[in-house]
Amino acid sequence: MSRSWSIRRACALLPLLPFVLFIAAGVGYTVLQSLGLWISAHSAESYPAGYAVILRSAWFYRSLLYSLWIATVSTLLSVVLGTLLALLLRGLPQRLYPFALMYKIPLILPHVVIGLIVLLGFGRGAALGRLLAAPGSSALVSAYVFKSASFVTLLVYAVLRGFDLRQLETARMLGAGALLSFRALLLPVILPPAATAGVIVFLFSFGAFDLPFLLGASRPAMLAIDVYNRYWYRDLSARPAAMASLVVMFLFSLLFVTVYFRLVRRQKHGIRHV
Amino acid sequence: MFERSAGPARCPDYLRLAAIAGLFALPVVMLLFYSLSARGQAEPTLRAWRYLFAERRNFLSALASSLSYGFSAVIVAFVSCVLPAKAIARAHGSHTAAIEAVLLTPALLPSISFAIGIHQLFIRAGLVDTWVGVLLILSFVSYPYMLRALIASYESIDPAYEQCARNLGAGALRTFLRVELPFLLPGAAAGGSVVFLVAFSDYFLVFLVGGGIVPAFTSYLVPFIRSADYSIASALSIIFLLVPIGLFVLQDRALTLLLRRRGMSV
Repeated sequence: MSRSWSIRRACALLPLLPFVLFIAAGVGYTVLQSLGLWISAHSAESYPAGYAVILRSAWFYRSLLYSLWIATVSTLLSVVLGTLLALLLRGLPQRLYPFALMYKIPLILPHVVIGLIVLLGFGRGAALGRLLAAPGSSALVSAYVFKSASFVTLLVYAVLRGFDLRQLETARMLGAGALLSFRALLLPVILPPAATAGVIVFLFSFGAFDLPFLLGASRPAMLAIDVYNRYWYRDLSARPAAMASLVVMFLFSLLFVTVYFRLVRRQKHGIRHV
Repeated sequence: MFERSAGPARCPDYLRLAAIAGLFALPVVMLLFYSLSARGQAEPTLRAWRYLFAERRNFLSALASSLSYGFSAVIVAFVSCVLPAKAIARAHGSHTAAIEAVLLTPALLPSISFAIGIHQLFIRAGLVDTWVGVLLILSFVSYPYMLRALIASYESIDPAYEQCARNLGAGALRTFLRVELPFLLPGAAAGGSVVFLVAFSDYFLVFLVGGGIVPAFTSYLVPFIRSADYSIASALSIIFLLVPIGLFVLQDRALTLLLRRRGMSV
């Protein structure tokens, strides 16, 4: 059987062509409107491009930096907590593992329900809410971490399952301290899945809509919310700037998608998520 | 013996289990607790559940609509991904990795970055506020999970099976149905679960393209959260959690039964 891309094999990809075309058209339309073209369905009137507007406006930088900041903090916390949880699961005896499967609950819960849970936990009068006084950011970060840590656990645990714990015992017998055996034995196993999971978590917390819509502060707002408000509630003259920030968001995300596939290719035999 | 002593932290097993339960089961208990409470009232009440029972027509139609586009997204994803998955799994070389990466990207990108452009296309095409429009946009963001699962399944099928069936005179369709499909089912079920969850739980895309006209469970729930009616929101969330869990159990049973009948181990 041939191994290269013949015409016939390429034709097998056709069923997905409409999806790719639609998405490409969506991105293309966004780019056109960011340049001030094709804004109104009813008139051919064109507007000035949005890039000059967003580069001169404070809200754009604030939202972009805020989104990157929230995504970074959420990713770091999710990866650390998720990995710790995976190690904790790996240490559990086999008979207790079925009970520990409840770590998967946040994977099933829709984002809006995660949002509700965080509101209940952080709401006025709730103990946690008083503890963490800043409502917007900390609620948002906790929601992302609650949702994403289990995802990191899922990927890291899948790899850890194949790790023979007796190696740690051997290392200890040979005189290695806890730190050395972690660095030399566990870290090389954990790092690849933790990194790929981290990129996915970052992309998700950078650009998702549902959670900041329920929890986020309006100033500074996450980029997705800012764009949405400018798209939905302002007149057509605000459209190019909104679309220009979407293009910037798209390019940033594309950068991280490239990083993701680089990581995946390097660990070809590792666990892949998507 | 090694299993017990070699864990990362030396604390009793039940304590670790309690930590996991505290983190992940407690929020669900909290939902249950809130669903049985009312503002300014100390004793438990069934107000939220009674309200949902009285309003059952609205929320059941929202649930039915979410289930319908969720299941349809799974079918659309399976049908459109089978052939591409096979082609990608059987081909090698640098092109293959690039093609796969491009096809998987829509699930990784923030959906808003292309969904607003698609929304405008849909306006021109008359697809906004329609069930078909909602199904389409949900399929765009969820098919990669099915594609990835089917590629992995095809990679584990020896191409010799297909050749053998063909040599024995089976046509392409028959080979697919009788030889390949049974091998694909576990992977398709796993990928389908994720596709279903993505479509079923989405709020933003359904709201953007459905415009509140296409009923959805998320669109039914969110106003209760926004207006801080936490007891009803909690009751709805519990249903929201139970529906997929019930479906997964059902799917697992059906799959085991089906494959066992065909003499395959699961």
